[in-house]
Amino acid sequence: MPPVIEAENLIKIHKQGNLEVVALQGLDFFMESGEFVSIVGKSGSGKSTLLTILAGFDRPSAGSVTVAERDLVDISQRELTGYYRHEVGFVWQDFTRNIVPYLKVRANVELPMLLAGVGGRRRKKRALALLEAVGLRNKAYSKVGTLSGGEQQRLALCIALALGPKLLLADEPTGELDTETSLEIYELLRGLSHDSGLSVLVVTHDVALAQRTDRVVRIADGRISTHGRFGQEELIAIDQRGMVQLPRDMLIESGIGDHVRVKLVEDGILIQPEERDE
Amino acid sequence: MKIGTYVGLVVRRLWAKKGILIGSFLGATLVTALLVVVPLYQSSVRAVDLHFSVRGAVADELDMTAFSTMNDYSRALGDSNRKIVLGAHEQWLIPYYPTIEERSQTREYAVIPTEVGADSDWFALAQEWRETLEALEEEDVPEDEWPSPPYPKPPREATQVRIFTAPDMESRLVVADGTWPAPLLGTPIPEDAPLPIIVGETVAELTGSGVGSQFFLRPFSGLPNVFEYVEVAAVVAPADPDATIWGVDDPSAMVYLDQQTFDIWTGRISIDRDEDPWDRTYRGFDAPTVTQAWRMPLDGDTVTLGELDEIQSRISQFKAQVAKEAGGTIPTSTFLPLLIDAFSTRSVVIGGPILAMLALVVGGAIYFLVYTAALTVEREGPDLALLKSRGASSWQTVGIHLGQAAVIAGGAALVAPFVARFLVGVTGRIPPLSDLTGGGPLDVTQVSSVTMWLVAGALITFLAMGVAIIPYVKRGVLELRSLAARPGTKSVWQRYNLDLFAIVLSFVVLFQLSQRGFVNMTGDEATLDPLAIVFPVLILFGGALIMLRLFPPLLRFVGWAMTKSRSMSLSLPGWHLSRNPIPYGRLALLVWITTGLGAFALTYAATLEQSFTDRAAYAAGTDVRIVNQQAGYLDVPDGAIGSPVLRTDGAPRRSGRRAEVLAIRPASFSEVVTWRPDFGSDDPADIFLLLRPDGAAPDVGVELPPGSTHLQVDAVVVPNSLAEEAESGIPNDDYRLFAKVIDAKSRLWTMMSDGDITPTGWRTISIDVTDGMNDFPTPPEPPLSLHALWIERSEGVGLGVREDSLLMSDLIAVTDTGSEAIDLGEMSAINDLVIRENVTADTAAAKRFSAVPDGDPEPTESQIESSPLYRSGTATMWSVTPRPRANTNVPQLRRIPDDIRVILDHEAAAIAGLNVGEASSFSIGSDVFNGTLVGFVDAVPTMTDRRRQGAMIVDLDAISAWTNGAATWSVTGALSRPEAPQELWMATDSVDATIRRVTAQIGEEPDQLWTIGKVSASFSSRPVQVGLVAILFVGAIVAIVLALAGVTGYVLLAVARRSREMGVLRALGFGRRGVATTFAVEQLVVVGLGAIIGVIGGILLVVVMLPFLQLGETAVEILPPILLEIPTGTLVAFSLSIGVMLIVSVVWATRKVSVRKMSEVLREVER
Repeated sequence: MPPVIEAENLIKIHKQGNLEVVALQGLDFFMESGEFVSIVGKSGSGKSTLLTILAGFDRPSAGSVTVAERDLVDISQRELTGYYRHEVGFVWQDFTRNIVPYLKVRANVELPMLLAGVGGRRRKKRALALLEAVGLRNKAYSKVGTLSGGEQQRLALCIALALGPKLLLADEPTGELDTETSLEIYELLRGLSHDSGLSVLVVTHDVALAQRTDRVVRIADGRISTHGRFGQEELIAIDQRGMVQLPRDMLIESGIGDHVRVKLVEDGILIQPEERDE
Repeated sequence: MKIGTYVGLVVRRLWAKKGILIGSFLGATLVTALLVVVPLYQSSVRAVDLHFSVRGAVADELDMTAFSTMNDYSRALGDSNRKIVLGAHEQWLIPYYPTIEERSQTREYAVIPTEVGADSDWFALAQEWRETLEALEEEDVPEDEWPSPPYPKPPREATQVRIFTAPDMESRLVVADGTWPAPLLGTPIPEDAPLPIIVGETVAELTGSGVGSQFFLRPFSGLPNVFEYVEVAAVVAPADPDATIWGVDDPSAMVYLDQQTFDIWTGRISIDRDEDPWDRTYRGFDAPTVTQAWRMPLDGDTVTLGELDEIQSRISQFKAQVAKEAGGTIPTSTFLPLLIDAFSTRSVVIGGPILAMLALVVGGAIYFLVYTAALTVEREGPDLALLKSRGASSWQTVGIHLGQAAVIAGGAALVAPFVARFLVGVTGRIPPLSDLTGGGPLDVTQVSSVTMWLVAGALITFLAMGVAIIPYVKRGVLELRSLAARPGTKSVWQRYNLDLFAIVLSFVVLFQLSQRGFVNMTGDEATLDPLAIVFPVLILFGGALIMLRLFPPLLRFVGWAMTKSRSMSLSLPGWHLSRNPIPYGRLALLVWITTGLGAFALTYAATLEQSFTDRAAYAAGTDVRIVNQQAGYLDVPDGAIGSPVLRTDGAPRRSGRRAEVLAIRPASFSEVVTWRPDFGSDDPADIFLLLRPDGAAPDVGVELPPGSTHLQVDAVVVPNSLAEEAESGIPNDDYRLFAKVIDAKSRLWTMMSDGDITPTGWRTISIDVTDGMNDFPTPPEPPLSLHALWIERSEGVGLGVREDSLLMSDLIAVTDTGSEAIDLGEMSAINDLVIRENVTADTAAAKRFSAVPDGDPEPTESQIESSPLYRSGTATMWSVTPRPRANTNVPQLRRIPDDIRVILDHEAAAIAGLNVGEASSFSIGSDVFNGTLVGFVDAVPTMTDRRRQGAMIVDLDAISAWTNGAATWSVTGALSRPEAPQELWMATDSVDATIRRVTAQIGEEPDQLWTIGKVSASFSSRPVQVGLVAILFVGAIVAIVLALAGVTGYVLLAVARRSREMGVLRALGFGRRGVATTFAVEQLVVVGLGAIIGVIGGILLVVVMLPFLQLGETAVEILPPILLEIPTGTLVAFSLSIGVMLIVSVVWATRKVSVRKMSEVLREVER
């Protein structure tokens, strides 16, 4: 079975005014179908950027990414809509943004199916089944405003799963929830992954929660982080102005501080720590 | 996708966002309603105006008439015509013209008395003729030599009558004498019996006839044997003397026959020729010229508004049918369609600018819609992002938004007709339209085009709202999510300089319009140039876009200035404004457009109202202007200031192009004339007193001493010598002395001596200067000036004065207290009059006794000295070369008037090529005088005669001496009528009382009476314009309310977006109030600047629109030109009200956001 996610050498550069920020720099990431994976990293490490690229909300500046056999680099607008409908479900951190506030609980779950043209009877059956699965069957006709944070996030999961995607992406899905509720959500996700073979990728900065997933991937400085080793080779993007952002791990390991010595050698540029006068 | 579920989603979205969408709904309703107002109001006001035009019209103008004039009338022809007209009337006109009156009348017939002279009559002559014929027959004289029959011939001044008949004659006439004869239908009449007729009282009076009187009637042109012997059976008078019957001027001047008799007697009635005195074979008027006429009266009071179109249509159908069936021999006419057509022109000319202005309001409202829709889309960014992330395609996203727009536009289209009807109806309650509607709502006339406008409105609003989504269709989820936080910046208009293009284009259009005019006249039809509507819309649009370009630098500057303040509440918003001013442009533009519309409506209304006042004042000229023969000489009541004015025509430089002339008294005219600085000077006196720089009245003659009652002179005609007298008799050489005297009112009096100057001896003759030969209503008013003296022979025509024939002593003015010699030195002898001073006074006596008949003794000195012809000392000899009297100028002693100062308008000056200070000849009427151009004027009230070219102003007193001062042969000829000022201009506070007192002097209604109020009331277009302005204003108010809603919404949104900033400020120690003030100041600066620009822009827009307004209701330029009137007080009040409302809405909105709990705000910061 092919991996559900194949991302190679992903580079994403954001422009903020005149400044270019390299959010992902040569990131490689693979995920097998039915895996429950978490991505951890510090703020600004690029984990949310990776997630939005995998969700199809954004496109990489360079590299390749295939999700559920769809190439997201060259995907058309029309294909993207199909991708949203059938391949991927997404849960935002801010649970209010996952839900249409003026629709009731069931209607919210039915919304993606409605947009995809699913018939009314099937919609209802599927929605109630999903709500049953997350323990919200009794709230099916409630207004979303009456749900608690945990319930809203579970509802968000239902909405994301409404059309039976192959991949569920969740960006800090428990970020605004207490520990107990967060654990419930993770258990729910684990259950969905293991029971129905759904691939689940969760971004979190909570290492404890991440441990509950099958595999934890750490991201630092826009790359998958392994602890630094001598001899490690990295491919680093050079931005339009020739600026290079060096991996923090390498900097620490090499003892490079504020300044570096740059030397043009026969087969490239050598970067060495600055020799200080004692 | 299932449509029902999809619609449900749209409806649920609408309901959830009702707060923000209500603004869109109001805007859409306004746009659609205003579009519907256009046809509704036009048709309604048009109908009202027409309705009242109909009520105000003269009855005859409304009536439908048909007539046919036939040279060979016959009963069959009459019946055929009748059938055509009655048939068409029944088919088309019965509902509105329920009755039809018919009448037939012949051309003039002469009334021939039966008597011929005192001793004979026409019958006797006929009898003699017959006897003559018999004799001739016996003598075998050939028939062609027999004399013609003595048919009755009319006398030299025969009474003329027409023979008249109408079906309703008996009900319209009353019998004054006699009995109404029975119809003669089928009743054979004896050959020699007279035809019984009915005559009007006037005919009876003119012919001296009564019941039983007999005479002949014979057409003025026609065969001599066609005449009829008639007998008066009855004398009748109109039943209602005041009512017009059949449109006949004098019903009493008719001869009447009933319809049947008329029909029989307008044909041939065969008779036995032997029984007829004139040997005729038939009687009757035989194929006379008859006019058959039908009148179908329309009662204007019963016509309802909705019927006018149908009446017009039925009139056309009726006319077409009659024309078709009668082959054009029965012309039909009514003035009703003309009244309607005249109004059509009026409505185009007046309606054009109003349409343009409504377009502006609609444009403003559409902008509001687009703006609100854009705001909504921005706010809905996360919502759209969510939908998209859940698999909504671009079309689905657009569809949801468009569905939303469709529901709003559809809802607005449902509500709009009611709003429009209300808007139109309410104008009926606003004066002066309320004068027409009686204070009730305007009766709204439904027209079919409303549906079209409604659909257009719905479509426009739908597109205006729907178009907002287009830029976001292709945006990704992340972009849509960030939409609310980072709205777009530079508009597409600026990016491609389309704003500059729009402005340039609008000026190109303006140039085009100025070249070809705003109204196109094709024949009688006026149509508004479409560019005339495009232009204001374009300039508003372009102006708004330019403002979007200019506003950021302005805001940046203001923000920079604010940062200099030490107060954080000023410097913080200043920093924010100067850092990123572009997003504020839209808010400012919204405020600008809406306040601009209000300012525009107020300024426009004030300008229009002022123009109506100015036009009325210009047409009236002063508070009260009376035009009547010699009105200028009427006494002015106490409390009023009066000035006599002579209106005539003339020309500078004797040009063939005549100018309108006003002759005025400069000082009093300046006080009474209604004036505007653009007429030529701030104060009218500055211009008109140029006619009298020293203020003194012009010197027009020798001033007589105060209290003068008579002019006295001793005079004698130099007689023939005794010898000449013996030979040729006593000559008829009596003379009279005449004088032209000018009184205080500038009236030229012709006065005549009380006795003749004779050749029999010196006589003292006197001229009474307290009375004259003219028919002025009041006696001469001192001071008096002697302007001319001349002599005429006392009677007859023939030669004038003989040479060396008259001796006169000094002229003396006799006063109540004594007498005073008058120095005539400043008068000149003209037209061959020779005056020789210091001639010995005994010349007359010397001449008398210079030769005696042969044989008579020579007179002794004592005899001579005792003669009444003798006088010692010196005298003045008046001598005139013998000349024919007729058609020659009168030899006279006259004060030659000084050159006259003239003021011209620029047109007249340009035609004559004259500059100030230049002397030239001028003409007034046929009189030519010398004058000097002393000044220019741009306009003078009442000078609106478009047949004349330019205007000319002169001094009344000076010009009178020129035009009326010349002596005229007047003893036996008609006294020439002097050109008297026929207008009296009066400034008064009590108009009615002044009119009463002045007209009392005339004793009857003056020919014309002008007051500002009366003229003002006559502006039929005024109700329409004021009504439309009212709608405009109501629209502007609604737009302002919408703007307030928009501003509040915008501020709420703008502040809410910046809650992070707000949280930071709060965290730094700013109080709630401080934060609220900071944000409120920032928004207030923006809306305040927007409001100021709006008010200025609104006023400028009126300036731009002024050329449109210069066209009057007949597509002719308005006099005086419309000037911009800025209603400062109202605008200040308006601006303050708007300002207060804006402050309240901004403060409310900022406060609403700033009072959020700190924890809530900070939580938002965390996100």
